[in-house]
Amino acid sequence: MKHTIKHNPSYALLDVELSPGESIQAEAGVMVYMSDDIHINSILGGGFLAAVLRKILGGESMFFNVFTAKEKPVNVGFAPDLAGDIFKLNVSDTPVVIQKGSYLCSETAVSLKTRFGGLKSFFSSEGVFLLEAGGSGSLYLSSYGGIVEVNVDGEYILDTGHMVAFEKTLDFTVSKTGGWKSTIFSGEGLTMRFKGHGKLWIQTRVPRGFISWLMRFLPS
Amino acid sequence: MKHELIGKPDFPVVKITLNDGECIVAEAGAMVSMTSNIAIETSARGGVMGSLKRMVFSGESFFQNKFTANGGSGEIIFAPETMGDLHFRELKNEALILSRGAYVCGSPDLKIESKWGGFKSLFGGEGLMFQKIEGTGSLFFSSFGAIEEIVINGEYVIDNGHIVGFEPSLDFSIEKVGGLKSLFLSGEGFVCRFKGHGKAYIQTRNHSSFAVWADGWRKVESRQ
Amino acid sequence: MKIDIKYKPGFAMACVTLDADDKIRAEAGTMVAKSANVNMKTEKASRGGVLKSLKAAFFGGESFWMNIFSTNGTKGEVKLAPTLPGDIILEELDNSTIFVQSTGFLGAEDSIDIDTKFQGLKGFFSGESLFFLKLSGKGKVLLSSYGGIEKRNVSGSFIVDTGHIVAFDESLNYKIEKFGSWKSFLIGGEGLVARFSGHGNVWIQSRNVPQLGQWLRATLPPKKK
Repeated sequence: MKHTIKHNPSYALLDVELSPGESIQAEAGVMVYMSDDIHINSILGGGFLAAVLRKILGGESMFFNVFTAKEKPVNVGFAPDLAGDIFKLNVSDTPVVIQKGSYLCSETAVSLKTRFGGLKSFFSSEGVFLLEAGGSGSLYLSSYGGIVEVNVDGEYILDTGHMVAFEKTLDFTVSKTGGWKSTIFSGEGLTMRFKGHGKLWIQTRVPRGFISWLMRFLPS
Repeated sequence: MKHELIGKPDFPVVKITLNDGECIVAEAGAMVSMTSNIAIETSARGGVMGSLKRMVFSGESFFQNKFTANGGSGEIIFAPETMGDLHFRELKNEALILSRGAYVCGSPDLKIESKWGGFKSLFGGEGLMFQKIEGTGSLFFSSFGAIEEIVINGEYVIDNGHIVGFEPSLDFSIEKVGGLKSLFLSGEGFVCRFKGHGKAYIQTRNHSSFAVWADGWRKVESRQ
Repeated sequence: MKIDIKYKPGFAMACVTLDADDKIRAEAGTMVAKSANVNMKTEKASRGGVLKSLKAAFFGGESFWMNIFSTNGTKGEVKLAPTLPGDIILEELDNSTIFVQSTGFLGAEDSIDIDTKFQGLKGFFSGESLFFLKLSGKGKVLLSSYGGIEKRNVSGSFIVDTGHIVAFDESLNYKIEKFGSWKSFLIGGEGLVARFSGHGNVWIQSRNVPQLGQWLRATLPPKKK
């Protein structure tokens, strides 16, 4: 499987070339173009219950599309809904935890598990629903805006909306920013406090931030 | 204080390294991430009236956050809300006029004041109030799209929705572009004619046009 | 006429330098800035009568009016940018014809003829305004995309999601059809796609305009009527 990421970082598009017999699994609705002789199968994501849970909690589609090359090599292009970058991770020994909406596609040898973020993340608008990618193979994630990789060693604080993914070696708690006054008035909402040693990927913009900016200019 | 702009020009963030005891002021909601030794303090800078004026007229947040590094140096990342570039300018005992919502963060010594654009901007429908940033220190401001710096020497015409900021040495007048027919049909609305010598910053997308486009997609709810 | 495209690919802007006799026609509302010696005139989108312009506005989803920029005899400059974020690409038509989806047109040299092709009933099923402007003649054309723009040479058959089409050569045929099997069409979240066949270029944008609209529809508070 060969891949090229084009038009990055702001409106990235992933082009995947599949050799006969190879497959790639993608989030529903992300296909931009494809060769004529590609085989498509639509499957439930991570089992029925997980798929339903995903639909209810994450607002994501219940289905994935699996694209397979039959006799000839084929190309398929993928892009997320919103503006931003696409980046590739190699999943091997350390599983990666992904924020809802950041999953784009992956090799079929990568396993995806629905992970309930727990009650703590209920208080923030994001992070309620997380995916855990295990197994081994290429995983492609998308970010709203650019992507910044942070090596956490000790403690690190992140606004919940900016979280894309982190290595499972990191643990997090959700907490308020500063004092109570800051929590209510600072506009920062809740933050994630990461502890441990591992990589964290953050996105440089938050969709709801763009919406609140836009609302100031809407015709009244 | 040191800074690094990461990911220019489309969706950049600014990473600021504060020495022990140093602080920086930012718009509410601009913080992306930080090391755990940074304290956050929320206040209505410039008093309640000043903050109210800033919020109502300049589209800025009522409260602003002050971030201070305690017990060693600390690192903090800020991002604007909109899609587009982030521009740095070191002010040296001078002023810069910014349009609504362009201010992201800056040195605590900079004075931010809402400025009445005058009746002339009433007709422009945009940027009724500008912000005047004055003093000495680092300033970071954002744009919808890329930022282009234009050195004006003489006259230059900019669409109102594309102005990010300009130096106070420039004089401007709001006018229509083209003939009377163009006023209603061209989709251009009003433009700013700048005169004099100084720098203007323009953004490559128009927030008003985009908002009108977005508005067309909104659901319509009938009033009960 | 010299055209320089800056700030590619995220928020591209076309800087057009006009000489004495140059004229450029641009989609309404796309002017960013201009030098003081450039004049703007507003005219009907299509030449050849009000009816033709009406057709362009109604079916093409474009503004009824376009702006024509020219100079007063000296060198001047006008900067143009589309409403949506994304790229701009410059194409030179050499007595050829391309079809451009409604949001993909930014501007064209005055020598280019602009007409509307009614895409036909098949487009209605996709729920997207699959209306195309027909640009023909000899001269410069500016296409804009939501996201990046990619020119792909089709030889044989190629499938593109309808929301990602910017433009295509007249030499290509296309057919709107469902995505994959009936099952995939219903649950695969892709909806309808366009199958291009023949030989020619298709310009693809890396983001989907109706998807952005749907996202705004879902996230913005409703309007009161």
